[in-house]
Amino acid sequence: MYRYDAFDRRFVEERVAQYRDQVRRRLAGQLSEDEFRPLRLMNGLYLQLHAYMLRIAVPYGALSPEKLRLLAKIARRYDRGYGHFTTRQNIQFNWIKLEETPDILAELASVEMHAIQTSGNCIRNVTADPFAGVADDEIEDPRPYCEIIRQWSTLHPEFSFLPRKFKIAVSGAAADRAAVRVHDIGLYLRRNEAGEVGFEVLVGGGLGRTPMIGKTLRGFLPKRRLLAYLEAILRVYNEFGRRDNLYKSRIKILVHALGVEKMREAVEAEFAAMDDGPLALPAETIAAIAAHFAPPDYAVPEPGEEAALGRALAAEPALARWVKHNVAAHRAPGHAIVTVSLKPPGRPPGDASAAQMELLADLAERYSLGEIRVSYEQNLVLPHVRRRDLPELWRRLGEAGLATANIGLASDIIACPGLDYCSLASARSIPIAERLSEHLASRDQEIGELHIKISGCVNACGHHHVGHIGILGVDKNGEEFYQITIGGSADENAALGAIVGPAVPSAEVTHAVDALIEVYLDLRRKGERFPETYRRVGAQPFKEALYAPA
Amino acid sequence: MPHPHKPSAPPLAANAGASPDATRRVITGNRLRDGVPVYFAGVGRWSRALTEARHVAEAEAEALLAEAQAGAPPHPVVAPYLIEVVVRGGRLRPLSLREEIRAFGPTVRAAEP
Repeated sequence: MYRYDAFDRRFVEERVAQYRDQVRRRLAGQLSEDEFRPLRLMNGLYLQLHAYMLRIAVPYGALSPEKLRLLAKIARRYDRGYGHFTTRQNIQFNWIKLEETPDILAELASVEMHAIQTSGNCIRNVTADPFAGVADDEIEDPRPYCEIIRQWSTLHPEFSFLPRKFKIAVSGAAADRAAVRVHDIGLYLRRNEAGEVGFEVLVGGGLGRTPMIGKTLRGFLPKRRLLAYLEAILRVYNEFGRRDNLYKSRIKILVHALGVEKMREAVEAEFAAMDDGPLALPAETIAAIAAHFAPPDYAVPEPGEEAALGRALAAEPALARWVKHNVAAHRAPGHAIVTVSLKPPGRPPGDASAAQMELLADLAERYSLGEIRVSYEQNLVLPHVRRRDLPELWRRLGEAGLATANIGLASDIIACPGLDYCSLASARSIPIAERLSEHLASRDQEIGELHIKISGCVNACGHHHVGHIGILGVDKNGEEFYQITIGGSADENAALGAIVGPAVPSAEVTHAVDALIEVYLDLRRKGERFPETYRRVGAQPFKEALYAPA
Repeated sequence: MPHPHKPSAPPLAANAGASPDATRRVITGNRLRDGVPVYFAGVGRWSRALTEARHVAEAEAEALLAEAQAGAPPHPVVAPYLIEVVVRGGRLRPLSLREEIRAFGPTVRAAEP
């Protein structure tokens, strides 16, 4: 894991001191809310329905036990005992007091964390594959590049007041576990015909009011030129992106308006005008950052470990189910990647209590070489677990309500905070997710992989556009209705879902989802996932089932 | 919409002049120091309880808002604004779901600490 150097530490501590003085002046009436708002937002502090909300950056989703324990401490001391992991691998606390925020930021700085650039029209937290560095389908670990981008983009003077917020995701694997294609810039590590590793650069993806899939701007970019090319894209966006209309201000609108060819021409012209100077990434610079992410020393599995695990799985069907769904292949022999579900049936997706965070910090030290990751799907990952330890880990997780065996299944629902917390929301998300997960949990095995995603407004923090089944809350004359989309996908074959028909009332959402699932189960071919069935048979059977007269 | 996890709003305190089911106006905002929703109770006082809010007819709403916004900085409340409420069964209820949730809290159960 990257450790702050003296520059990082001083910069974050100075920011805390600046912010403490800003809060003091605000509380003393020396700053108006109009003056203070941009200052607090630069430090991740929003004002929501019930209190201030603090969004804390988890760079590329990487946490240490020390950091997770500090988050648990914040939950206990400054909030109501829990936190909410978000679809951008961050954590939010919903019940924060303004007067306590300087102390919270100071506590965060003590473990090399902050809330800078988790809001505002700047480059936000860079996200990554939560299996980075351990996935068996990976070309190269994306984390060093995420860290390089983080350092380049933090307080970048040219890009601190962009037309709108800007999100970057990076993946180094064949499977896309970072929703790369729906980011302002998406980066895939690719190997070219000469065997060199570089980047495929996508631009103009995004969700929100006008969802779009990113387009490839460069099929292969040498690593050395990564920052120069990113800077070229940002410069074009900064110059030509719209500032006159909030709803047309994201780079996806610029790419759409120009067309990808003209966008490419503009970026390449800017790129060509740059020399290979300060923005160049020499191999030794990359290596120095990559050293922070060097693989740990994995224990060599002992003879008989796998056989013992096999016996445990045969003896305990619930353990076998959990291993089947929550455990992924690891590149090191005898090891596994464990995804800890934060989606127990009937509970808010992505929430973790302070006690659960503390337990996970302990378990990460005991079983995962001291590493935890946050996934954009609002779960936590223990990336270095010995396979022989899986039964014991499962038991300990189960004691804390953390052994739900549902990763990638129907009850593993993404949901934004919605109208229960968020001042932008049009309708509630969490109660819909709770009802659905409770209802669908018993059918998870039968249904198989299914991604349901729920947003409480068009801003789409719940990624509904790319759900196999997407649910969007809307306000119709004061009543909550839910618009349903089908066929979306956030993976390497990303697609936007299509609206099935008129929105349904809140009370009918579960019935509607049931109807769609029944059509899928009825029509699917062996091994076919929901989006594939939808693409093969079209929308009509789903529409007929959803809107059939009672 | 009945709030599923909260007790019903407490009875309305003395705040006369409203007929049952008439739409009234109340001033609300979030308290500066901690962000909690508060309601203008008149005479410079803000209350966490909607039941204590001063409520007026539409014609008097702007004057009430001006009174709530008055005073030297620091104002204790961020960006006060008007909401619609109804007096029903002797209690004040916000007309919008958003304000109902602000007044009585989230409709979901949080994780146990």
